[in-house]
Amino acid sequence: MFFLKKSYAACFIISLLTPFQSYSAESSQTIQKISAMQQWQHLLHYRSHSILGYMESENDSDNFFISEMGKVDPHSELLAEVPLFAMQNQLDNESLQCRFPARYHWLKQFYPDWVDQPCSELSAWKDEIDAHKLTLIFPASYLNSPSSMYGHSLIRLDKEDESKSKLLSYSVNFAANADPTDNELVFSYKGLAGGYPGVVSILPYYAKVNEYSHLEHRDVWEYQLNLTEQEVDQFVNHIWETKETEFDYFFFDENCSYRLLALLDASSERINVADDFSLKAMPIDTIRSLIDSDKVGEVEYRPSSGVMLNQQQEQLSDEQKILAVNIVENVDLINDEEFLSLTSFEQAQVLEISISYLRYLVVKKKQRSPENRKKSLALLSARSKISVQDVFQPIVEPEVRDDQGHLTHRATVALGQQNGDGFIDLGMRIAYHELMDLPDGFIRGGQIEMGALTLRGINKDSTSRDDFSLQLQRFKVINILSLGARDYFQQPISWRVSTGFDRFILEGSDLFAHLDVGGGYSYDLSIKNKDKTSSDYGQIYGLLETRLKASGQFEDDYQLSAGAQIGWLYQGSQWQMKAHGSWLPSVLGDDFDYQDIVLSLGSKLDRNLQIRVEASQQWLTKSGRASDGDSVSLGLNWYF
Amino acid sequence: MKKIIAGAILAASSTMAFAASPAGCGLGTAVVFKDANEWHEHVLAATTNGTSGNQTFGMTSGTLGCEAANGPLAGVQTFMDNNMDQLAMDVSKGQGETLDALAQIIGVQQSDTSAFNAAMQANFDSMFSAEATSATAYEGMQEAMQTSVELQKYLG
Repeated sequence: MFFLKKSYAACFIISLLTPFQSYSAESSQTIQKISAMQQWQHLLHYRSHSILGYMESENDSDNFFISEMGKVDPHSELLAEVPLFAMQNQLDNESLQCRFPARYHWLKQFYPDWVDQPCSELSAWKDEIDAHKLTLIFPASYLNSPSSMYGHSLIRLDKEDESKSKLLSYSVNFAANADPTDNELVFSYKGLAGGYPGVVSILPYYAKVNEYSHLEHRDVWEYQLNLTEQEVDQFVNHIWETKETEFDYFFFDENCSYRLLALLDASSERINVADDFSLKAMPIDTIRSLIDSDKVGEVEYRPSSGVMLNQQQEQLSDEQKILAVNIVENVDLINDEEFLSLTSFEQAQVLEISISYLRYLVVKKKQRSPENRKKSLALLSARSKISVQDVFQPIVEPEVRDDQGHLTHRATVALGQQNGDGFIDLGMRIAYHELMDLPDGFIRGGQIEMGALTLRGINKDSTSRDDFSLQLQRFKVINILSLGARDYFQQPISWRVSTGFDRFILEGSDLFAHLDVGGGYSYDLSIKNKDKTSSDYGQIYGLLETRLKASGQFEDDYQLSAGAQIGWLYQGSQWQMKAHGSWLPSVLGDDFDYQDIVLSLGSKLDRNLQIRVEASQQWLTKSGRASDGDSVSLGLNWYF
Repeated sequence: MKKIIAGAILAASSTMAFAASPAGCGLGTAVVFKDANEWHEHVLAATTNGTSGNQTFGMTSGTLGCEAANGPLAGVQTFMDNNMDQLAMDVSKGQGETLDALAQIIGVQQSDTSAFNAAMQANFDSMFSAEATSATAYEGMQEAMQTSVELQKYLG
C-alpha cells in the first residue's frame, strides 16, 4: 500500500507541472465548496471531533486518503484527489477511480469532463455481488440471552430477481477485528476502550442465517430499504473503498450499527442518519431511525429454529409429543407398532419434531456426541422415506416487531410513602428493558438494564418543609434477569446477575454496593383451550441466589447471603403484574437474615407511557430481633 | 466465548469476489449439529453492547466461489460444506430454503426443481451416511443427478 500511495504522490507532482484545469481561481473555489459539502464528509467518514471541534475521519488507515493531511483535512484531501481522478489513459485497475469509485462517481457531477478509466477488478467484483437492493438485517433478541437485546445489524445485498435465494446474497458486516490470542477479559476491555480495529467484511448471508437462526435461536427481521439503483450502486462502490482499511471500533458508539448507518450516509445525499447516534448506537434505534426517515419498505420475518420447534410441537397430540421425545431416547421405537400405526403424515410430524428436538439438545444443551450424531442421521433417514410434505402450519409472525416496542431510554417520576414518610422519586435509565416495562416487542421473561439511577426526596415531617432530604436511592450498573420458560421440549435455565448500589427501605439505611447472582427454573402457566387458543396466566419462577453487599453500615463492612427467590410474572400488552418474595440468610460477614415481598402492577397508557403501582415490605432479622420497612408508590414511566 | 478470527476481509482478486477461505472446499464438514454459547458466556457480552453478534465474524468465511473445485459445479461444494446441518434437514423433507439455494447454485431450472428435490430426498442415505462429510454428500448428490434424466444435463 505504501508503494501505491507513493505512486499517487508521483502522479500528483506530474499533474502539478502540467497546465491542468485545477489551479485557476475558479476551480480552487469549486474545491473549497465541494470539500465543505456534507456528502464529501460522509464519503470520507469525517466527523467533527466532539471535544476539540476539528474535522477528523473515523477511518484509521493511511490508504483511505491520498493527502498526508487527509485524515484531518477534507479540503487538502479533495485537492489531492481531483487531479488524479481527472487523469486519462490509465492502466487497467491502476487509476484512482478504481480505488475510490464512490468518491469518483459523486464528484463527477461537478467535473463532467472526467473520463471513466478501466477497472476490471472492480467490475468483476460488482458483478459477483450483483446488488440491486439493500436489506437491513436485524437479528432479534433471543430467549435466555438478554445481552442479545442490544443485537447486531448488517446489510444484505439482494439480487434483482426476487426469486433468487436470499441465502445466496452477500451481506455487509462491520465488526471488531479482535486478536484471537486475547483472552475474554482483554477482549471485553479492548472492545470497550477501542483497542480493536473495526473492519468491513462481506459474508454470504447463509453464514449469518446459520449463526442466528440455527445456533442462537434468534428470530431475524429483514427490513428492505427503498433506495434507488444508483444509491445501491454507490453503496457497493463505497464498500469497495473500505477494503483493507480500518475504522475505530467502540462498542458503545462507533459499533456495527453506527458504521452501517455511516456507510449508508456515504451512498446517498438523501441519507443522513448516522448523526443521530453521536453518543451510542443501539441497533434497534438505527432501524427506527431509518423507518422514521421513510427508507424502509417491506419487512420480513425469519423465525428461528426455537420458534419453529415451539410452534410446531403445539400441533402435535399429546401422544405424538411423548413419542417424539421417546424416539430421541431410543431410535428403535420407529420400528415399533405405536409409531407404525400412525398415518404417514403423523409419522412425518413426529420425526420432524424429534429431529428438531435432538438438534435443540445438541445445540443448546451441549449434548453433542457420536451417538447423537448417529441418532440424528437415523431419524433424518427415516424422514426421507416419507414423501409427504408441509406437515406443519406456516409459522405465525409476532404481532409486534422489536422496533415497535417502547423506546430505549426511560424517565420515571413516582410519589410514595416509606415507613410513614412521603417521598418523590426521579429516575433515569439509559437502557433498556425490565420485566415490568411494557412488554410488546420484547422477548417475554427477558430483562437487561444498564445505568438506571433513582434519586429520592424524602419529607420526614409532613408538617414542615425543613425536613426534606435528597438522596441517591439506587443505582443499577447492570441488572440482567432471564426467565426462559421450560416446556415439554425446551428447558432453558433462568438466571440473574445484578450489580450496583441500593438501600434497604429501613429508617436510616445507608447506600450499599451489591452483587447478586442467581439461577433457577421458570414455567409457563398458559393453558391450551379446546378451541386451540391459549389463555395466558403468566409464568412462575424460582431462583437460588447469593448476594454480596458491602458498606460501612454492616459489621465487618460486608455481608454474603445465600437463599432463594420465587415469583410470578404476567406480561400482558395492557396489564403487567409481578409478585415476588425472597429469603436470604447470612452466610458470611454481618449476621442478619433478609426477607422481602414486592408487588407491582403496571398498565399501558400509550406505546411509550406506563403507569405503575408498587408495594414492598422488607424484614431484617438479627439475633432474634426483627426490624421492618415498607413502601408504596405510584409512578409514571416515560420511554424516549 | 468465541473469538473473532480475522477473515473474509474484503480482498481484491481478479476472478473472485473475496479471498477464498483457506480451508478450501469440502474438507469434510460432517453433519453434527453445532453447539452454541451457554448462558454464562452471554454475561460478559452483555456489557459490551452486541459483541455476541460480532464474535462469530469470520468464523465461517466460506465464499460462494471455491478455487479448488472446477467445472460447472464450482462453488457447490463450498456451499454444502457450510450448510451441512440445514441441508441434511431439508433433504430429509425434500423441501426447504437451503435445498432451494443449492438447486440455484447448481443452476437447476424452475421446471426441474421438484425432480431435483425428489432425487435428493430419495438418495438421502447415500448423501448422508454415518461417515458423511460434505465431500461424500457432494459425490452422493452427483450420483443421484447422474441417474435422473432431467438432472444429468446440469453435471456438464
